[in-house]
Amino acid sequence: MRSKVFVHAIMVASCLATIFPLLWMVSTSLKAPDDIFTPGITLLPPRPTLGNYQKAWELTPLGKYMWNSTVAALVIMASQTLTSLLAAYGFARHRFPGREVLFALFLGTMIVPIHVVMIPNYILVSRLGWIDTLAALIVPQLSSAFGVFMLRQHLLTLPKELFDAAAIDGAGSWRALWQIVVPIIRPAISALAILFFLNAWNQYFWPLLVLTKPEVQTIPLGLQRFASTEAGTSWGPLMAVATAASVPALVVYLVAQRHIMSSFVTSGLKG
Amino acid sequence: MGASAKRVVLPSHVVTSNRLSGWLRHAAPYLYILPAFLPLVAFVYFPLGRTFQLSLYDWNMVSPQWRFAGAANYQALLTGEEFWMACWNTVLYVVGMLIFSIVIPLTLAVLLTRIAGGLQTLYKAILFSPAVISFAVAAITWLWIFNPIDGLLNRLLLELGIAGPSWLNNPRWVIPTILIICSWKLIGYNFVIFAAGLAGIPNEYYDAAKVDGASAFQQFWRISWPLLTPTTFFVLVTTVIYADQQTLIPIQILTQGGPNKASTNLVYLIFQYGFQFFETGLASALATLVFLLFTGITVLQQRLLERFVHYEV
Repeated sequence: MRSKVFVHAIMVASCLATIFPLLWMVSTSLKAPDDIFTPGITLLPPRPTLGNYQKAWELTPLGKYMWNSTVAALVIMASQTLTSLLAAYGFARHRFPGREVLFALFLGTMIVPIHVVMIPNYILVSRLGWIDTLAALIVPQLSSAFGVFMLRQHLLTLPKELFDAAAIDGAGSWRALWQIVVPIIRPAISALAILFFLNAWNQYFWPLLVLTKPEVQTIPLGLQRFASTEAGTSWGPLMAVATAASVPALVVYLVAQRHIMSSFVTSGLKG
Repeated sequence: MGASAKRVVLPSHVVTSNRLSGWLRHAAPYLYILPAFLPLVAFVYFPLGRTFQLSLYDWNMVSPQWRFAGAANYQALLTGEEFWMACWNTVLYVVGMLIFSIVIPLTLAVLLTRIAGGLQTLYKAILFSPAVISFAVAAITWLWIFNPIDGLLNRLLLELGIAGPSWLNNPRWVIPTILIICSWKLIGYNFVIFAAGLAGIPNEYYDAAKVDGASAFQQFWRISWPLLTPTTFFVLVTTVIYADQQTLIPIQILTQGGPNKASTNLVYLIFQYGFQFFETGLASALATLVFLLFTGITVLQQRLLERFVHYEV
């Protein structure tokens, strides 16, 4: 019994240490300017105010950043989910020459990190005239090898009889995909879509290279831009932007926590 | 009459549709795969080859002149001081991350097995939460906490009578500070993986050990640790890759490799050569070396995994 209390104490302490920076971020964003520098740990703002959000809205194109992030994340999510589903179905439910080689080529892309290909990709995207457009951000990420891999695993667990029955009904492979396969693996598809959304929403490095103007930048870039111009003077508005950047991701996490944990765990953690 | 007329019409229609569907049946798998395959060829395989090619040239990304340089870029890297400094720092980042992000999560996961119930899920959910936050947000939030004058950490230290250092501007503290930020993102993630691995070990093993009077430590060392090796190796690989690649973001946002290159690493150096100094060839040569190095390490880890892992559970 005593050892259980001890374990709970350690877990609670670790949880507090983990969640503290986020609480501190939100708390700072809600504090009046004079309360930001008070001594000690004051997590609850003595005079809560939305003034920092208002100031951030005036000092940065916050709405534009959020809009760009939303558009980019939704398009990337939709495209990666759809292309992964089609390719996974192609691999899992069809026999054709070259299948193993093609699948190995898909898997192979997963060991190539972005910094190895970023220079030629930057050159390609700028030759196409896409620098400072959302196309530069979105087009290189229209598909995901991990998504193909994960959905293929799910499709391989479906019983063969399901597809035999569909064939007897005269349903072609296209109709079988949408009428039989998709409804059954819908939970796996949504888990994957959520993962794609979060990764796209949070990503920082590739957008940093191809989006240089505030009008086209996403929220993590806007945060960094704001920090490099204002840091040290206006922590309140800065933490307001940081909070705005995190809220969509945290809401998605709260709603679909279980799905997110398991799909992150299989996919690896990204920036 | 009407029926037989229809029968006459139908076959020709069916024949064309058969020819079409026959062609489609053969092409279908490739058509399913194509939309996912094309972007990967264009933005992974093509540039991968291109990076190798560029590494052999002297080029500044804008001039129409490409000068063939042979191995000169590689030679310049390997004889320069900067490369070896970045190598050493990369080792520090990797070792530091392995210590923080394996020891702490594993300890917490083992402790978690001693309790049951709803709180377990709550603990996991909270500890995992930094993983879903953007690294840019993490960096800026910690920048506020580590701020030398107004930041919470130094203000608390001051109340204890300690003058805290300027964490990110001090060559001695800058890497540990970045390690704390990166570990904050990774600890909960690794913890959830370890917890899943431990949950997969059948309870009977522990029951039998308890009957034999094994202590908690013996249970861990004789049962959990060996049976957990596949999980541990997985965490090892992801943590090494993470320490190599993801440290780039806090370095770029917080220190730009400074002070005086104290926090730079190999991947940040690629970024600097490529996008600040426009030394495309040099950056590509470094990217090639880093890719070979870390692919080599991953393959080696894979080999070790096959050799030492206890799969029988």
